[in-house]
Amino acid sequence: MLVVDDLVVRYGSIAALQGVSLTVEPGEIVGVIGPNGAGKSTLMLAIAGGVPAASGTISFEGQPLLGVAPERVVERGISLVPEGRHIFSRLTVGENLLLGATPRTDKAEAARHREELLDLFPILREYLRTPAGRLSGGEQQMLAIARALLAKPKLLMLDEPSLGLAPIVIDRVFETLEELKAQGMTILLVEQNAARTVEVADRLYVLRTGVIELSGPSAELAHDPRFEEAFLGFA
Amino acid sequence: MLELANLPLALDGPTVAQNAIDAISRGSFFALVALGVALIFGVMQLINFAHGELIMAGGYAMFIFTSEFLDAAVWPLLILWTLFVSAMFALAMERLAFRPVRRESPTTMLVTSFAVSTLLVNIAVLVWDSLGRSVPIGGVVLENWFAGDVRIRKVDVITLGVAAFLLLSLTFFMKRTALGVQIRAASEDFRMAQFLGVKANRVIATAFLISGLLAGAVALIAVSNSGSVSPAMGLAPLLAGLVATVLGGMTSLVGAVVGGFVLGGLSTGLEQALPTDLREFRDAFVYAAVILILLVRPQGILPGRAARERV
Repeated sequence: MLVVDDLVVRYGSIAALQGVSLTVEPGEIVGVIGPNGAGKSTLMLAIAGGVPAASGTISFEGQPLLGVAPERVVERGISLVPEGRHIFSRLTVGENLLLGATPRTDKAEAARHREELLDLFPILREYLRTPAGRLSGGEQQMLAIARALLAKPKLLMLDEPSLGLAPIVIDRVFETLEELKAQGMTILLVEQNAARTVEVADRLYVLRTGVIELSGPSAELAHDPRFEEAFLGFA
Repeated sequence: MLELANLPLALDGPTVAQNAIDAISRGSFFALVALGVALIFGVMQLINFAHGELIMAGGYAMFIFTSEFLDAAVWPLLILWTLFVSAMFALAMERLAFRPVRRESPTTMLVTSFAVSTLLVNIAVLVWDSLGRSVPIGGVVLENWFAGDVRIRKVDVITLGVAAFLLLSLTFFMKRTALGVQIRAASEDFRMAQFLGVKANRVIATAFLISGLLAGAVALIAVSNSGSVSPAMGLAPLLAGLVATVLGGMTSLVGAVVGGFVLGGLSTGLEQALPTDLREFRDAFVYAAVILILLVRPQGILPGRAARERV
C-alpha cells in the first residue's frame, strides 16, 4: 500500500533520514519507534508532503507520492495527525471537524460519518461549540484523530499520539487505535512509548539517527535481545 | 481625512454625543483598513505595504468614473465599480507579485510589497501627475443632520453603515462558510490546514479578494470625505490601519477591528482634550499613546496565536 524506498531527507547539511525503507500493507498497524531526534517526525512529514526529499522514492497504491503537495496527499487517502496535535485552538470543535472533511465531495455522507465519530468520541459532542483550545490535552488528541478520520483516509498516520498525556488518557488513545484496527483501518504509528506500541502494532521498525536499525513482526521483535537492548535504552 | 470642526471643550451632553459619533465613525474607518491588513498577515505572514495602493486604485477608479463616464449621482454603479477595481488589483497583486515569492523569506515578501507599492504610486504619478485630482462626489454626502445641538454628518452615517455592513458580512462569511473557516484555520496554522486538504492558492487568493473589497470601501469613504484623489492617498489610512492591526494583536481579525476602534477613540478623544495650539500635533500624541499601550501589552489587545510557518 505504502512503499518508502531508500528515502533521504536533509535539513541543510544535516541528514535527518539516511536511506530509510519501509512498507505498510492494508489493514496493518505499523509502528516506528525510536528516541528523540531519530527522524520519526521527518519520515511522517516527508510522506505527507510537508518536507522535500533529497533522494529515494515514496509510492502509495502504486502511484508516486514524492513532490505531491500536502493538500493533494490527503486527497489521495493519507491523513496525518502530527506531533503536538495542531488543533485550531481559536476555532470551535465543530469547525475543526468541518475542516477534517475538506477533501470530501460526498458532504451528506461526511455528515453521517461525523455523527459516527461523535459516537466513538462522545466527549467531543459536548464541546461542539467550544473553542478547541479550551479542551484538555487528551480531548484535543481525540479531536485531532477524529478530524483526520473525517477525511476518510485509507492510511492514518499518527505522530506521537501519547506525548504529554496522562497514563489513563494514553490507555484511551491506544484503545481507540485497537478499535480503528478492528474496523480495518491501516495505521502508521510513530511513538517513543515502545511498550505500548509493541502491544498494538503488527510490525515494527526501530529508527535511530535517520537509519532503520531493526524491523520485523512485533511478536518476534519483542523477544529479540537487540530490540530489548534498544527498547530499554529509551523506554 | 475625516476632518472635524473645533468643538467646545465643555463635556456637556451634545458634545459627548458628538464625540462618540466622530470616534465611532473614525474607528470604523480604521477598522476596515486594519481588517484588510490583518487578513493578509494572517494567511501569509506578510505585512502588505501595497494595501494603501489598493485604496488608491479604488480612489482613481472613482475619479475615472466621475470624470470620464458617469455622474456620481449613479452611486450604486460607482460603488460596485470602485469595489470591483480594488478587488481586481488585489487579485492581480497576489497572482503576479506575491505568489511567485510565497515560499521565499519574509524579507523577500516585505521588499516585494514595497516594490509593488512604489510601482503603483509611480504609475499613478505618470498617468495623472503627483498632484491631487478632485472627484465631484456631490454635496449630498457632505451635508449634516441636526439632532438638537448634535451635528451628524451624513458621511459619518454612511461610513458607519458601510463598515457595519462589511463587518457583519465578513463575520458571516468567516463563521458560516467552509471557505471562511478554512481562511481562519490557515491564519492560525497554515501547514496543518494544508495537511487537512485546504488549498493554499484558493485561501490566499480569497483573502486578497476580501482585502481588495475592504480597500475599495475605504477608498469610497476617504474620497467622499476629501473630494479628491492623489497617488499618496493610501499612505495615511495604511499607517493608521497598520497601527490598529498591531494594537489588535496582528493575527486576530476581531483584534484588528478592536484596534481600529481604540485608535479612533484615542484620535477623537485627544483632539478634544488637547489645548488648541497642540491639536495640530494630535497624531504624535495618538501614536505616543499607542506606544504606551504596547509597553503595557506588547502582545496587543487581542493577540492570536501567530502561525510561524508560511506555505
